[in-house]
Amino acid sequence: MGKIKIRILLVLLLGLFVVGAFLLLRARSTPSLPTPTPSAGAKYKFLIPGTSSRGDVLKNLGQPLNDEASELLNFKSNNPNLPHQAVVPEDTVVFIREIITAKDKKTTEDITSQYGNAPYTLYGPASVNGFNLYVYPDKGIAYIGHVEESILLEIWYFQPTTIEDFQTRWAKGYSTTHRPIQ
Amino acid sequence: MAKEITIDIETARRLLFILSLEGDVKREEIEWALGIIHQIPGYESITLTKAVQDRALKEILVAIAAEQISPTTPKDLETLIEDAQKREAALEAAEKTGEKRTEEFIAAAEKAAKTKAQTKTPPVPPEPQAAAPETAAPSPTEAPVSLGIKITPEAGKVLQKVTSRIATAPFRAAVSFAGPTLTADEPGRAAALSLLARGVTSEHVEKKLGEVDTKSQEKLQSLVKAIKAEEQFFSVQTRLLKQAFPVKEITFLLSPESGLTQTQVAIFFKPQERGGFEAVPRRSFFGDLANRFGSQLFGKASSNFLKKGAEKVATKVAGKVATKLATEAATTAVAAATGPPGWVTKVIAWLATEIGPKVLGWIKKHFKDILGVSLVAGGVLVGGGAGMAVALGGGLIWLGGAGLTTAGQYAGGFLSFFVSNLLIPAFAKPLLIILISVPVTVALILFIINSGAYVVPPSSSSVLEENPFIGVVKEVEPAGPFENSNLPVSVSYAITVTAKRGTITNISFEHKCEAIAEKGTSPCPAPLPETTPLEISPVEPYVYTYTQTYSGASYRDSLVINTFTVTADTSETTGSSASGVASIIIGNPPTGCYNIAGTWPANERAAIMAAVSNLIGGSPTYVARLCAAYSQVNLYYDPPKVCGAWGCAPGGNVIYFNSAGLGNTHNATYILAHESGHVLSYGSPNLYQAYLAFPGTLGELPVCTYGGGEPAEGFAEAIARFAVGSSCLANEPNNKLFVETYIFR
Repeated sequence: MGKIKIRILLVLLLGLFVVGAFLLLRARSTPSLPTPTPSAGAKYKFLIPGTSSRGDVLKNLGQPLNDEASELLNFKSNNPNLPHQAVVPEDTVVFIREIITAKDKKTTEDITSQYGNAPYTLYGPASVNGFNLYVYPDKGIAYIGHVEESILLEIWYFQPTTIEDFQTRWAKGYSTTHRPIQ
Repeated sequence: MAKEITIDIETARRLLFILSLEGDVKREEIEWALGIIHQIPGYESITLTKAVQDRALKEILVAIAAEQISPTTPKDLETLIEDAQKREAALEAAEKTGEKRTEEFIAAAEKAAKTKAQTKTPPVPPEPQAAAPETAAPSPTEAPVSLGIKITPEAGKVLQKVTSRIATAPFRAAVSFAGPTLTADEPGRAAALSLLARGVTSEHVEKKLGEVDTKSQEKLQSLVKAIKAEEQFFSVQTRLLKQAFPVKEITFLLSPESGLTQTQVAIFFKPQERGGFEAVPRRSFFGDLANRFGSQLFGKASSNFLKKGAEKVATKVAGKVATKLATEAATTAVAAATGPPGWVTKVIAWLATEIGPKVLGWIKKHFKDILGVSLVAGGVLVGGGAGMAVALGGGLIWLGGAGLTTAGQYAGGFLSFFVSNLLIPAFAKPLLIILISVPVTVALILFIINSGAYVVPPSSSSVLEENPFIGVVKEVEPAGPFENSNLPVSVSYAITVTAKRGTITNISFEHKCEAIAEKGTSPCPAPLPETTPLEISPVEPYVYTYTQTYSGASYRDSLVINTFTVTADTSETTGSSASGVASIIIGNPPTGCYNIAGTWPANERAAIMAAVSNLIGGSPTYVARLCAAYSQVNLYYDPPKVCGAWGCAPGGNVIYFNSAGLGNTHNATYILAHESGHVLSYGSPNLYQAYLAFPGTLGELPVCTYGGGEPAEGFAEAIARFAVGSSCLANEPNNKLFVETYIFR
């Protein structure tokens, strides 16, 4: 009798695990935090994350370096080591990463003059060299720039959101506290 | 034509698991892993050591494991696996008959994997794996360090090891998760427990006391006492831990010369302000994840358990202790889990909303069952022998108590449901158990994976590489520093040349002396031996001694650097060179914009002054660029503020040092040059921007094995390697070209 109980138990466990997984997934898909209403944020070459289509991306940025059907599209930048990137999960672009070099003649002042000082600063691996991630979550724009000078390394464009959601989705390697590791 | 094949999820997970163990696996496992990794574009000839350190590779594998991407490989994976299986039998036989060391197996495996590599596909730039720059998450506050411990494992019985590791898993989890909390309250205990959890006993530490200076001995004595106290409190765990992690010996690592990179050190210690030591365990990729997750969930509870557990544990019978501890620790842990992150929060929140505020009390009441489900599920998911052992062990723990009865009740409840359609009462309890078990299971899986990563990999590569064939040591007596009033200064030099691997021939010597002073650098006498030996054998080192007197105004406020270089042929190479350097300080040599600030111990002060003068003399343009960025760069001796192993430039014009990197002028110069690289970037960000865009620099990361894939570290490391003339920079030609062109010229 005991053996039967154990067997039944194992079968039930398996079933429950599946049910549990299903419910967990359901719970995950219902975020507890209210998702901000997507609104149009900053744009890059007429491309607005959350609005522009894959076709718009290809039309504005040209032929990607990789397969144009990919979720992550790479485009030639002035940096031979790093491409511009666009994330297009289905047919809508949700994130664009613009790589800046000295040739591009862009500075942090181009951003701060338009959007003001960034409300959030996140620290990442380049912070030991003076480069932090400055985020305007509600404006849909962030940049990696120098702490003292106007040198700019990257500009990120995304759908306006909260800082928590931004960190979770796009800045996993960044922290709100500076913790240098060398 | 080669069959196109996808690296499947299971293979990616297995590869990640092997990489997380950093070589502490059988040779055939490594060979199998390398065989597959070598098929990934861009990783055709990567070594195991580099693969372990390569964060980008791990991210690719994580992405595959998470079904985010599916890169194809040009070779048939099944064939590779078949090959590995065929080799297995032969290897088993070899292991049984010989006493081959793991290092030899790994070296042979790497060589075999390289040989097998088929014609390379054209190099393809590694495609970014994620949308956002998935730069490395900073490790948990890596603490300042001054002493590292390398643990050399001893071979043991595999089954005994596995079962003991499972039995001690709750204890080790509690130690690991309690780390930050316990360190803040009782750093001595935290250090002792960290070591004990890795199988290091008081006896191991005591044996090695004679190898450190008197000051360190006193501190380590307190550590020995602390470990002994824990051994008494946790006597059963200690016995099991010795079986789980048999330790052959430990080695104290006092400087970068130890020959290990930071990632290869099992545990670091930093001195406490009030004396004693604070432990900073070195964690693997998975270990870091596991510990962060576990610490957030169970940190406080685990700390309480360790604080309160001693008395309880001492009175328990061995067989019951593991179960009891597991249950108690985990019960307390979940009861305290008030603020877990992410999806765990959502699950808990959902439960709290749906089931009501009494749910936590219910969880506590049923935790033994939750733990049982977690162990079974965790073991099954991890798979393999160890995983199944966990499953079996967990099942026994669970069913061995009241769990079996409860299980029957669950089954009965479900039968009732099927018969009478009374869904809620029968469904709720087991469902909740399963749901709560999921996060515990995840933590358990990660901890099991992490357990294997504590052992230092057998292979090593030096932070500051040395010539493998020729050893040159130059010593000076007295070493100084001297005052200007001591001039003329007379010192004796002893140069010892050693043939490390075999007899060296065709020998030539070069001797150079420079006095670096405010007015400039001037040559000084550097005599050569009257005769040069025809050969030097490994059994008889060549020793050359001479006495030199320095007099005159040119030596006032100067650093006198002597470099003796030996060039010779070996059985494997021709024209191999090695140098030995000795320096003395007279008065106050020029320090450029470097300001040696705060209080420094005498030896460290002498070392950093020598390094400063060395850098100014050897790399004047680099120092000039630095001084153009900051009129003053402050150098502090402040071990608690050191954020790496040997130094820290936290931002701006400040650098912190500890004693570890200041053992000799060469090391001190290297550390100073590296940290100054961060300062330079901070003060001249356009240089760092230029580095990022210089063709090929980022593709060569890590530079000389240091810094992983982080460009910020690559920038500083390339500068440091160039400053001290490391030959490894020849393997990173684009980095070398960049620093040569933009930093040193």
